[in-house]
Amino acid sequence: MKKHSDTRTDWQVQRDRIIGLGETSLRKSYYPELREKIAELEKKNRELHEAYERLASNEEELRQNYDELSRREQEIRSAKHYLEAIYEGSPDMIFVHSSDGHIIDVNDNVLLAYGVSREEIHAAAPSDMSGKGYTNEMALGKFQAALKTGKTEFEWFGKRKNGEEFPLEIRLRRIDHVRDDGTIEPRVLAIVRDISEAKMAERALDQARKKLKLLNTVIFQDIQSTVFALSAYIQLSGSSRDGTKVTAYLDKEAFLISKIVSSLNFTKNYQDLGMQPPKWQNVGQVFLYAISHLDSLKIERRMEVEGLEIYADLLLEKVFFNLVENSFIHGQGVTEISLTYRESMDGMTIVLTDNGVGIESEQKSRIFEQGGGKSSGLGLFLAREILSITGITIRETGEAGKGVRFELLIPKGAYRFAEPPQKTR
Amino acid sequence: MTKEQFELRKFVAPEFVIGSDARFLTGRYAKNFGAQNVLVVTGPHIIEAGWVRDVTASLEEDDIAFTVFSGITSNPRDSEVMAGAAVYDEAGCDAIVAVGGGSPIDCAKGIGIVSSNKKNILDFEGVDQIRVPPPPMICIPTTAGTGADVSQFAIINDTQRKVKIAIISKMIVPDIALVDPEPLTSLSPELTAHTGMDAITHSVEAFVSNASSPVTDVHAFESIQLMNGFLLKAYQDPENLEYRFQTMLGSLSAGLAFSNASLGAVHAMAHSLGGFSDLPHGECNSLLLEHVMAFNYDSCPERYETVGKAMGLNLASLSPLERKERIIGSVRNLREALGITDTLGDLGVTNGDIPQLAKNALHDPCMATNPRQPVAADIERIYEEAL
Ligand SMILES: [Fe+2]
Repeated sequence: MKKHSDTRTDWQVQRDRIIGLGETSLRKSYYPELREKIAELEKKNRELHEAYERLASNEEELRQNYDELSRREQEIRSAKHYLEAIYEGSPDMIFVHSSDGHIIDVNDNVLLAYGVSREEIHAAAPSDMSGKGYTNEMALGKFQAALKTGKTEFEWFGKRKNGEEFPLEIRLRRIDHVRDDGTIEPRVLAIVRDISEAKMAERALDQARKKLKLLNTVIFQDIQSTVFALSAYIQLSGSSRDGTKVTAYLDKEAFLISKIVSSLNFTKNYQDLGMQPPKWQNVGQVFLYAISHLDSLKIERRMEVEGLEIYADLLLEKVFFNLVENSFIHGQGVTEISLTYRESMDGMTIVLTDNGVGIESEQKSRIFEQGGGKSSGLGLFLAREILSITGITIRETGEAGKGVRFELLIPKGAYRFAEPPQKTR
Repeated sequence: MTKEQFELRKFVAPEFVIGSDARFLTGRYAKNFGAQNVLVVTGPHIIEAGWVRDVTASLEEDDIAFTVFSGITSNPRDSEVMAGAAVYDEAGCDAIVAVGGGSPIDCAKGIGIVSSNKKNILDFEGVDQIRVPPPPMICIPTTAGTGADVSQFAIINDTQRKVKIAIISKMIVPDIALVDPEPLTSLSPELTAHTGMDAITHSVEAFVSNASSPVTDVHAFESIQLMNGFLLKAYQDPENLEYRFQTMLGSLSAGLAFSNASLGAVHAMAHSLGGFSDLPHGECNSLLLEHVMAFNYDSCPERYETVGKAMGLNLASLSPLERKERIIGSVRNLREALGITDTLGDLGVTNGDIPQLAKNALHDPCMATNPRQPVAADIERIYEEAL
């Protein structure tokens, strides 16, 4: 009985379950899963949207970066223009060297100054372009110093393709070249200035000072000896009762005083010597100025020195004046002068001739000496001294009776030709 | 009107489409469920008859891939379910289409349960034992009788214990049934008879079930009328689509009725027989029905009288006993007219089997809703009568 009733209870439970009103008796449902999926999708969608926003803001940032970059590029480009202008427009020579001394680039000034092509310069070692005694090792030492300290400055001697040497002032600067891959390659920038003229001016000034000293000494001795003679005559004339003698003494004294005055006047001629450095001067122009002070209208002149410039003291005009004046005074009927030039191995020779009586052979060696001239004796002496300041020598090579012939030899480097005036089309 | 009629009751039915060529809607529904690769569960004979080709063509038309699993015998076995679930997983399926009678449909339900819950199918025996819902399932019945296409039942053969287990859960009510009379035209007379008698058994048992409700009664009554009116005609004129359609409708109604009202001792005992010796389910029911009716009759005679009315019997002038004999006799007559004349003994069941058969039947969940609660001796006696 008991078992039977248990079974009944069990069946009751079974029946209720089959009818299916219990909590667990549910049909399968997709809706909760669907909602989960939808929620998941919405979340994904939100995430995507956020990602999109981030992307958009990144894009904005990128765009700004790009703008900034292109602005920088613009700046770099304009800076590059400046640099290029400086590079090509600078009066100096500019070299770019690798750290081991090889030439990477040069501006056109270098090619002009050294007289070489761009290909030749790239193949050149430092010693090829330097004066005698300047070695590759010395050059490398300078580069090392620049690389180490950032800069170094020194003087040097360059050598042109034709072998001519010229003094240089060199400033080395280390520059950091940024390669395409962003790495840095140290290089050396050389700013090279041709100091030939400065050197010449320096030498000339030195010369001028020496000349001045010499002239002062000469004049001082001259005046001193004259004053000595003068004081002797004054003593004699003081102690003499003889009127005739006294008159003769007084004539001597007057002569000596005029000599002192003449010496003092002469100092005016050269007191400006060396006051200013020498200059490049147009020979023809200076010559015309010089003869304008003379009564030269009756004289025919031939000038073939167009464009010729020489490096000389500013008293060059005085030199020409003195030379031509010499012809006027001593030439006896000079009607013609000529000024020409010829170039030779030694340099440039300017030739000044007249058609006067010339200078006799025995006098030729003395005319440039102090007191060697026919009058005061100082005109040609002064001319020689002025010219020698810039290394110019002068001599007289004319034939007596056929006129004088002054030859001025200008050393290499102290003459040049001015650019011919540009013809307009 | 009794108080019981106001009890809370539930009626669960899947969406279904009934009518000729309903099977061609498979692709459309599979697509609607988001399926991309469907496991088609069916049997070799159904493939042979060409019905599966119609279904797969419909899937192809909607660009849905499919894998066919047809390793199924009648009275589907646990091993077959597990094999099908392995195919499902391996092929990466996401929905199931069952084409066939009760065996493929129950097996398909089992495959769905296993694929979602990853446990042996036998673990789900009983009512409401399924935790995770199975994948979407489309059923295309090819017999008029099983009712599995609309029911919450799946009956699987436990080959080890030699019993049929019942899995009952609202979760295995299919998502859509495409009820098409066309495939019935290829049924053999014998299968028509067996499955038809199964349907009648479903209706009768649902109607007299102690879990019946007004809604299930409507379907059960209608089903008995339809089967009584058209089963024999369809048996005699197999290619008549009209008769086939009526039996299909009868089977559908029976399915809806028993799915919600459950069954009774006939099915409990038939399940026991099926597990024991693999006998055809419909035939077992046919042979047991009249004996169980006789046993149950007195616990609810007015229900059985209504069954009689549904069978078109005029019982007005008869005594209660005459009515009982008339009604049971009417069932017997139909069975015999359908050519089911063997006894259980003819099918190989012996007296010695009966205690075990009875014991197993008593444990079947269907027994819970039988109108009269039997003890083992009652069941044994009924088996003996049917022997
Ligand atoms: Fe059944």
